[in-house]
Amino acid sequence: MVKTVRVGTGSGFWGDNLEPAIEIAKSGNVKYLAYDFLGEPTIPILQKLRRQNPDAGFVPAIRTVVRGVLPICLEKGITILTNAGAANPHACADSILSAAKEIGITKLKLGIVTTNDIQAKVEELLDQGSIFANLDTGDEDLGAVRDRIIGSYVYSGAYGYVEALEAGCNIIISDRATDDAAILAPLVYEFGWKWDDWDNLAIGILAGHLIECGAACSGGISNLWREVPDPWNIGYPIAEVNDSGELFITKVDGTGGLINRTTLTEHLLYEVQDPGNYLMPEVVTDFTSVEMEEVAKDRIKVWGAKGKPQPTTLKVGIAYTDGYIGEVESSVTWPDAVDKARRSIEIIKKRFEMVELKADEVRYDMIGVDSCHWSASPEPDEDINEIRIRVAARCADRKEASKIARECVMLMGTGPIGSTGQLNTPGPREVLALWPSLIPREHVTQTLEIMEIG
Amino acid sequence: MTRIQLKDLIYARSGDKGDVCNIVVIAREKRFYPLLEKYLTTARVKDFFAEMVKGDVERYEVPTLEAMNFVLRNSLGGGATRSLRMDFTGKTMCQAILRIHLDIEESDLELIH
Repeated sequence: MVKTVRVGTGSGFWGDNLEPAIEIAKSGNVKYLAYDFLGEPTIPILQKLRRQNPDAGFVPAIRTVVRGVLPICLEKGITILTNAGAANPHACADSILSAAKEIGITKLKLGIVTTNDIQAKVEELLDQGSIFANLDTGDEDLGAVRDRIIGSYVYSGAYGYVEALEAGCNIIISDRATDDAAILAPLVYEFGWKWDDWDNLAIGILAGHLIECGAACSGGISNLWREVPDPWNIGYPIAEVNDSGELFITKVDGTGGLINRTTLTEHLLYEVQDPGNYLMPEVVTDFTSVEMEEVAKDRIKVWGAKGKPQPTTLKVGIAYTDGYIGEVESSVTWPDAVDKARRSIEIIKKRFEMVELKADEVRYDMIGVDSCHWSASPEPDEDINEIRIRVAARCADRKEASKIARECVMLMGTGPIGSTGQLNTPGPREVLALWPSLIPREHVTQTLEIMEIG
Repeated sequence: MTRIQLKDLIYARSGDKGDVCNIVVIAREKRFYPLLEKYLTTARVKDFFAEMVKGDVERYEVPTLEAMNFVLRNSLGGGATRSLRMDFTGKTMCQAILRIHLDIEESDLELIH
């Protein structure tokens, strides 16, 4: 008898549609639902919120999951795994338990997987002379921004999730286990894969990477957008793995969206750097020989990932404040919209000189002409209908950044004829910059705690 | 030489990690893949994006899926939260790359027709 395990995706980011998971729980024949809520800057933002309010700092959307999906999961024996705990897993746990009690749940086992205090560890290692080289810039002096650091987090692995599954939890939250970990963990648990069983772990990572972003693998943001059926009702992906290590990606019949070789290839390399060395805490995976075959409509067999030993370091994100961004927009219309936009930008540049704007960087865009593709955009070959001018600048302090809106709103009176819609932004926003780096894995530990109702 | 726009040869998708943008390029037909290997070089991509990409461009190949991945370093104005760009996560870089024209040698044209 072949053993098959199905894991579905409930969410790919904070703000994602939470309805497809209800369909998966009801008729997706899954045993696990994985919810990812965290992007790169999310944890530092939540750490900031937590400092203002000790009960905040997690992803409140988890309460919607508890109310809408958890009762179905409990009835069907589906376990939920999620990184909704973010910067405050314990407050997240309290919130889940109270929401569960409110809807009359009388028995629940909740696992909380947390890492040690990474910010404290970063500080300690800095004191001992660690440099935390910046992965993006190669810049080695984290010390230069040290007094502006507001928080750090680490991408941790599936280990704690697996422990929680062994303990029989119905819902497991973590602070920042990777997106993939919530899909890998059930497979490790179900098939008894060992932590040095690199090729099997690679299958789990392949499955995890393909489905963790929700609709992005089942027809969302696809080149095939014209032919994707019912994109207003995209079915979120399900990974099916059996005990021979075969992997299928599919979705619930009757839902919208599209899963084929193209949509899966689009996603396989999405937000990946070297596909020969896809780094996750549990295993390094080589995607360069992956193959796919459409075995049925919206059902693709995927194979060929190879595993290599786990990396000796884990990725940390260190967030620091980096000044303020002021931003404003204004419209001009036909005729001669491009010329009017350029004249408007000249006016603004001159005004910035006159008020002695001190900015680290200033950006001028003509939305409708070149705002996304810059110099790769050809000149418009006709007299276009309208252009939205956008000016943005990053300044060291709020007072300087507030000059951006002030000087641009003046276009209402000083700009060319046909200037309108000056958007008076709520004011400059503080910049939270991210310093990506690595930390030796021995400095990171995960702890499991369990809380219960009934 | 025959000039062909990438728009007719590939699908592409892009996204971000920090200040790195990656562009997945997929040959629309298996037979187009060797053209990409030969003509769509890192230098071509780096030149095309000019001032947008301040760092190196790397190319990784996944021939089993007729796909390649371009990694564009220091290409998002400092990363999503610092960037002044309209497209601060580089999601549309994959649409820009479709504009690239390749000058295909006559001897390679059989791969297209």
